[in-house]
Amino acid sequence: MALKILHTGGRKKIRDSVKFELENGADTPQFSYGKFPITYAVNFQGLSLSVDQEKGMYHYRRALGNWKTEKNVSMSNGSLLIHPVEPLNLPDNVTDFLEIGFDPIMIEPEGRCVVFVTMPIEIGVFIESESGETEVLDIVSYIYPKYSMYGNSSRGVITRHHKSSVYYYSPNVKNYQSGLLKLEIENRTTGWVNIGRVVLYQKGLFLYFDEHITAATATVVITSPDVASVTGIDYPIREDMTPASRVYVPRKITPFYNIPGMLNDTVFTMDMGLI
Amino acid sequence: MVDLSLFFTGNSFLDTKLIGEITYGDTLGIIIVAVLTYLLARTLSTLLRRILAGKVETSNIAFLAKLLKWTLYFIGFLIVSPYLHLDLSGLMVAGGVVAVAFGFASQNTLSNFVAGVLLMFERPVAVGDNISVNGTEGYVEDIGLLSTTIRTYKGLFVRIPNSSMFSSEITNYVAHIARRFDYDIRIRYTDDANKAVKVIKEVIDKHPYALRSPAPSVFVDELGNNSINLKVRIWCPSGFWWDVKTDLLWKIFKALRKANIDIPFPQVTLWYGEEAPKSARLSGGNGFTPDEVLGKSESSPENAVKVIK
Repeated sequence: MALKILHTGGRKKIRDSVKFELENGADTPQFSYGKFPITYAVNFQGLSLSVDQEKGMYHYRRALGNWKTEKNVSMSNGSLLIHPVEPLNLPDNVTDFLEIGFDPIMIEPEGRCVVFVTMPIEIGVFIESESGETEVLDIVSYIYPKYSMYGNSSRGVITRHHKSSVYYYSPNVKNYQSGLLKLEIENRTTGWVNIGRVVLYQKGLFLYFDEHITAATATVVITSPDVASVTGIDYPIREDMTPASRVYVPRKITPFYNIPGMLNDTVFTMDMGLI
Repeated sequence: MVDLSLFFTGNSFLDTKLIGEITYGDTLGIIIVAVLTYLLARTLSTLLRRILAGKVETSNIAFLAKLLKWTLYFIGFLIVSPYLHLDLSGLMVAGGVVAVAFGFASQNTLSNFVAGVLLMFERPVAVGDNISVNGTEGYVEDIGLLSTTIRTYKGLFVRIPNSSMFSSEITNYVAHIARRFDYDIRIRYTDDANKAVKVIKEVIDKHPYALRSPAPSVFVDELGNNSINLKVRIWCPSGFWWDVKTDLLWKIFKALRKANIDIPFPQVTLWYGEEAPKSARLSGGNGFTPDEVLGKSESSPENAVKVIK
């Protein structure tokens, strides 16, 4: 699948100019995310996962290589949700920030561009009771995590780091390993700027998935050569995508969360460099 | 002080005595001041709780809010005392004497209290932090108004008066989000230092908490008497540094062993007469010869003693 991305000068609205030309990796086996009956089993690319009922108790078992876990669940009835989740949970919830490094892009004065980068994906297994309450049962990932630091140790933040190539179309990715992050980058300065990384706040990671891809969207507004605001957008990159369950539901999100600007608390201001 | 009786004079009912010298007007004044004091105390203590929330420990916030409330109640009592026709002058004198005596007696306590309040606002440490004060290392268990308690790594309870905390040098190991730790790793002269650096970097790269940025550095730090000394510097999240440090060292050792790179034993090379020093390469090693390491002039027999040392 390829997304045709158009570069435009000035500040024209470009969301409508994104077109989907091909389906993503029709020959790539993709993981099936979604809502399933509570007694369910998955065996996919080395990941085996099952929920069995025995003597009134549900037993959850999961193995990925030597990494295994088992849990007992007491519930009368419910569902199993297997969703892609933000990659900020393994081996532990160390940070709320995801950093994606990519080959630097030079952007013209007051120019805009839309690019795609890949982001790591963790697979979240949730149980849902009949009343609709969900709880995390397990989180597993095919991607080995690596952490980094944005800024310095006194003012910076620890980040989950991922290195990606830059794509001007949707690359063929395995949806159980990687997701797509659509970056709408806007240079509001009157000079050329270089950007080679973005840092997203967990609150602003709104993942959507369908049978082919997992994707999120963010806007990057560059206000000086070293400063940019990265805002997650709660909007699917194409129609009929399902919002993914969140491991850590933000307790409080401002009503302005979907509007870039000062009132948005899903925004992260990168003020310690863009390269 | 506001004299509310001015508003009530000339009214025969309000001037009517209720109990002793206390009139209905006085009673009304007392009720008004009491209500206002109560409302003011509640409002200000609530405001104080909100201002200090997240900045000061919860138990200390409750104490400070109570202190403020009772101080305001005491001021309210002083305001209504004329309506109660109480002569507080004697009490004031006695109070002054008691205050002086109390001040002398509680000098240390007061200095601890003031230091505690200052520490709350300066906040060099927080509950759960890993700190070192006056040679005591451990986790901060509680920051009280008079003292700070620390649980040492051995599980001992240590109480440090706040005045001592305030005037001491405090090292907070987790105040910053990341910290660096170092290893000194020694390898044999017969080992390939470049290969050792590569092996160590690969091990570090595989560890999730060994931060990618700031990048770890591995370099030849010193050519020692018995070994090539490598310095390894790694940054990791402050909360995980001990786990990472203990975990990585063994992994590095195992990886070096797997690559046939070993830690040397202390050794002394002895030369006899005119016999030339045996090359490390000739003996099967793939590292440096003493000539390469020390320079040819150093390897001549007359300088042998110096070289051996």
